[in-house]
Amino acid sequence: MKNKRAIGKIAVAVIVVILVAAIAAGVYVATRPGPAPSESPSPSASAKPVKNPDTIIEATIGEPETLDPAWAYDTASGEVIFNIYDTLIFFNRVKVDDFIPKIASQVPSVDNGLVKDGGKTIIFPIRQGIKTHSGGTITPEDVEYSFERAMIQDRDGGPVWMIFEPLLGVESLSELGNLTDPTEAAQVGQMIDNAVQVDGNNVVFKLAKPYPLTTFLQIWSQTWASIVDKETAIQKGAWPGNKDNWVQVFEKYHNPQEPELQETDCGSGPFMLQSWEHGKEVSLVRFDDYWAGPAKIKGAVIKMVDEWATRKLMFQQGDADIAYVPRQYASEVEGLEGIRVVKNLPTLQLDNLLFTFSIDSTSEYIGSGKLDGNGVPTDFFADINLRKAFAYAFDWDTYIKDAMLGEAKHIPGPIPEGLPYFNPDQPMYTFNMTLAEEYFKKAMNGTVWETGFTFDVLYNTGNVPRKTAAEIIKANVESLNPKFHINVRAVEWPTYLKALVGSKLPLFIIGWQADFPDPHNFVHPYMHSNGAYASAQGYNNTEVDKLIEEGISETDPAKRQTIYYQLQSIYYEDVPSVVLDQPLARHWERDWVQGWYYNPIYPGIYFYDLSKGY
Amino acid sequence: MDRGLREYLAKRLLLIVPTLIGVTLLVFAVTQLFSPVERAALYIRDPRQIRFVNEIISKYGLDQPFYIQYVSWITQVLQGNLGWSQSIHQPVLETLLSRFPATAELAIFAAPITIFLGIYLGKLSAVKKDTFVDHATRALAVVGWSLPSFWLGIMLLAFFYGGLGMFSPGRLSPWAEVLVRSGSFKVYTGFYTVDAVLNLNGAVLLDALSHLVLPVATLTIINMALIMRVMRSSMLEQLGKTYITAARARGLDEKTVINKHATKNALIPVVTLSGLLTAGMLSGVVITETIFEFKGVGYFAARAATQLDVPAVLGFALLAGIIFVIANLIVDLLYAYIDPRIRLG
Amino acid sequence: MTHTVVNIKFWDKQSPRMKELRFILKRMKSSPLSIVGLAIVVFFTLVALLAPVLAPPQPNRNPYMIPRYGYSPTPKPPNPVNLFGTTEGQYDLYYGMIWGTRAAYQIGVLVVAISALIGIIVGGLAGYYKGVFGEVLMRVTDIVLAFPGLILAMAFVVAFGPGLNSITVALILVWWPSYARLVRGEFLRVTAEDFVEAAKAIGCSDLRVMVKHVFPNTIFPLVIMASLDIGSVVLTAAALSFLGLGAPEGYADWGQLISLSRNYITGAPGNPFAYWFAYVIPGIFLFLFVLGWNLLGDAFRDILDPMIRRR
Repeated sequence: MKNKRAIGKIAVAVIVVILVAAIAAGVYVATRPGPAPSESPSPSASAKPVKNPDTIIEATIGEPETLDPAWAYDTASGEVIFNIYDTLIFFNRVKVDDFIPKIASQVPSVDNGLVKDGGKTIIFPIRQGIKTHSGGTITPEDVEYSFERAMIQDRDGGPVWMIFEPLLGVESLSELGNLTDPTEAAQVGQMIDNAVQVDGNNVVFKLAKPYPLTTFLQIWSQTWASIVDKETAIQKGAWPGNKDNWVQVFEKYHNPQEPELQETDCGSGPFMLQSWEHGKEVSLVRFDDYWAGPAKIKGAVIKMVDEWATRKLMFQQGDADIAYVPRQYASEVEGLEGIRVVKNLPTLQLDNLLFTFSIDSTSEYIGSGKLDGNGVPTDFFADINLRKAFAYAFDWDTYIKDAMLGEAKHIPGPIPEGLPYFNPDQPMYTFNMTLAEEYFKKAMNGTVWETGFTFDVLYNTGNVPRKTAAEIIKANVESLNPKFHINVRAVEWPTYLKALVGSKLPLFIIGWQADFPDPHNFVHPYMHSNGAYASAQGYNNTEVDKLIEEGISETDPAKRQTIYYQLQSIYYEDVPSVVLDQPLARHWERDWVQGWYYNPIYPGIYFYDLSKGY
Repeated sequence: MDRGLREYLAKRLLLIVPTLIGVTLLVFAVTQLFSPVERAALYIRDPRQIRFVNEIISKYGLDQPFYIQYVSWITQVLQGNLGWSQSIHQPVLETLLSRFPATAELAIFAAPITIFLGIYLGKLSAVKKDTFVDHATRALAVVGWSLPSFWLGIMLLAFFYGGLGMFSPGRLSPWAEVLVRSGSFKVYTGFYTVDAVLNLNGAVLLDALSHLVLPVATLTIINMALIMRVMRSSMLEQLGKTYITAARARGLDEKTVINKHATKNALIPVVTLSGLLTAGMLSGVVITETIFEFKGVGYFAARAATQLDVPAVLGFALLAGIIFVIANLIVDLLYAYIDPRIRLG
Repeated sequence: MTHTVVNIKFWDKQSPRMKELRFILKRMKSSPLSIVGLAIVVFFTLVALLAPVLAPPQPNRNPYMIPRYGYSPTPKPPNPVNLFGTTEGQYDLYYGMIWGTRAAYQIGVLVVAISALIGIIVGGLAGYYKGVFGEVLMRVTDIVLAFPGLILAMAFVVAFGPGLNSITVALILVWWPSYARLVRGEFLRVTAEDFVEAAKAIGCSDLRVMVKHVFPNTIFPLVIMASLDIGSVVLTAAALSFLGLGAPEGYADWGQLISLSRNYITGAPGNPFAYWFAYVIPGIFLFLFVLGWNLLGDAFRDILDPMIRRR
């Protein structure tokens, strides 16, 4: 080691040089396309020059799980998929019950003869000349392949049950037979084959039972019904389309550990996948040969920016054109120069307070497990008086005003407003402490009022409205009787899930988002004994089960209305759960974004119609 | 390379294996604290999937005994398959390889600056002990070390980016990202600064550098004190030793005394610390990466940890273990270089 | 003159420990940074002790849960009712600062004390007995050190469920190795000294030698490390809260409060510092607490480190 001092000096010099270069770079970059934006809002509403005029950048949280249409169930994946794939038909702009043809050249209906046999045969004529991203064309064989592949894959926890329900009347492939037995496997394979077939230029779907047409079309308009280019998919390692050895097919391609088409683009949609940097962003580029004409914007980027402060700054500086703004921070962005907000957008989502009728006895949330003031018995909420008491103790006005900033609706449930057969005159629970007290006194022949109770209410960490709801209940219920004790606790999702699935939560708050915009998709989870929530609650009403099954096999809208009105009425009387709110959403974008419209069932931004400019 | 050194190197490199096994066993042990349902939660992000819990548990073997799961994981690793990361939706190996450049680029700029500044200020502080310079530098360093990193990071971002429009988050500006993704820019290493030089593209180089300023500043401000403090006390220790007094008595000028003798010996503990610091930075600095959108291995390891994504956390443990052993090795070699008195073995 | 003579005689008769203490205090007074550090630490200790007086908790409620003044998400600036204002969700910041001091001490002291204890036992045994046993212990220590602490801590916290107790346990599990290493090094150094050989030669039991002879001479570096670590532990706990794994919302924990406020750092339209109180106040408390302990630790190092103290 020579002259230490010289090295020290050189090091300092190098550092200084780098610092100077970096600061110079910063200044240089800040003066790049467009002048550096100023912080103080100017009175004249016009415009900063449009940043990144050829690309729309969306800054949001959460990232896609997969790009395989048969695997994807989350909205983040859905957002990418519905931009790079097409479906047979699609929602007509803002409507959820009116459709336009896409890959199909016509929307099937009874009138045009494409719906036959009392609704059990549905025919889609295929449009000619649709090009795919890899240079081929979409043929009826591609359509057949797309659906068969999805049915074969049917991964656990996936969306394919929605395709099975109308076509084969089951919820999963394994319900059809033993997939390892050659005879049964062949039978199952035959069923899949028969369900969707090519006939000339048409694709024909055969349904097991009559199914409401609009509901069918709604399911067929979403990402799990995307049309995949068969040749490209097979090249990427998906099911080769063989139907000879079904045991082998199921063994290899059914319920795999990972999606087949995880990061590939086998689509024909208005955008192509340019790159996916996991956890960071998905980058899309315009498909110039799109059958309906190229998109207006050259590219789109969906960036995952979890940190709100960073995301907000990007939005403010124009480095993001569309941003996800959590409700509680709206005040930070409202009125910022160059930003536009659209409010009061009705969502197809509910938040509920649910009661568990039969709590698991090993639950650690029920205190002593007895009605002795220090716990609750496992059948606590089997008593309808207690359910009503809690329902009347919830202060909707405060909750909606404070936790939801006034942007939510109080509805009877379980069908959200905006869906067919929503009953606007259905009576519902309202905040009434007198009635609450009355029902508490009646509960379990007066013993509850005398001994009191203690139990825990859990919510999933990070969910502020649900926490507030829990605290409102706690405050109101405890104020009625000093012997009533409720502990509100935050837990991580894994713990919450474990408790929920094990029926250990006496009372829980959770939400539901529409899979497809039909009442069936809401009554099932909340009221059918096999429903996602009702089964965990232990709610079992045979009359309800029958009505729900009838409702989804009935094609006459008038008869369906009767059924669903009845279900809503039973929901009010039985009160297995209470709807806390149906949220209203907001959409935030820079004011140079043009062409956006709202459809509550879209999983995200549909970039095809958007452009940038003034 | 002489034989002693070769043997030493070989011995240390062999240590990688037991260290890795130890680290991964430790992580595995932690995962056993979770029940199968809790681990299934990784795959069930949406309430609509709740009814498939049992299928998911059997599909991914979440209820199998500890040793079976560990052994099956090890066999996969030896075949080069680190498994699938559900939280990142990518094979683990691919994730580590694609995410490492971001962390490494940050570390490569932040570590040397932190170390050099720390050494320089520590030396200065020791030599001018109890003067204003000493107090001032120590105060500055301690202030930096006491700042919460997340607080500092967001403040810097709000001031420079929010207020002045400079230094946006992320590794590159949108226009540069478009350029890098297109065919005309060839990505050799994943280090945008290096690649920009290799592509002879000055604009991208400047852009990448400007995006490094804030995260590197955050890391430096906070970690500099660590090095400075050790350097200072180490220097003071050396300056109090008899051989220094002897050198002065011999008539050597102060500069040589300090630089040639004291500093060299004072550097020994600093080298250890610098090694640990660099290893730490290379293993990912979660908070800095999160705030500045520099999504490297730290950010992903954190995500994987909170979602109980076992394969990803294990893969990350492997990486961290390897970095740690190599860093220790380099530190030991530097020791030997600096102080020949230290025998290797 | 008589006074001085008496004084000198008086102090000469004091035990070496008293002399040591006086020396320490004298050295402290001469360094302004040390005084600042000491003052800050004393201030926070008083606040922690007097918490129930300064911010009386609500009856029948966990005193660490901050009272809420409404449900609205937007922070309110300081006003007569909320001296420091409220943060998101209308939690009173003044209450949070006071009880947060207690929480900080709780976590800092618990983690450091228990980590040091474990480290002393493990490192002491490894350093005293050397050989294979010592090597194995050190390898285990190395393994835990090899893994980035924050990630490991995060996994533990998710396993045990978020909360300050989980953070405490997780941090202990991550922190003890550095103490083990330090103690081992010190034990190795001291056991090589003559007086230890002598003690063994007279026939003192191993335990006696370790506790009465070796350990007291290894205390200083431990004390230095511990005082410096209290700050680091509190910062790491705050980082875990920032990442969402810490105390539940509404708990009086500075890290949690900063985490709550981080979404308001960019302010409101036209007023980027509209919510300054929400992040500046908890940030300053956290910063000053850590600064105080760091300065104190530095002071201890300057004073207690035998290598540099007598200059």
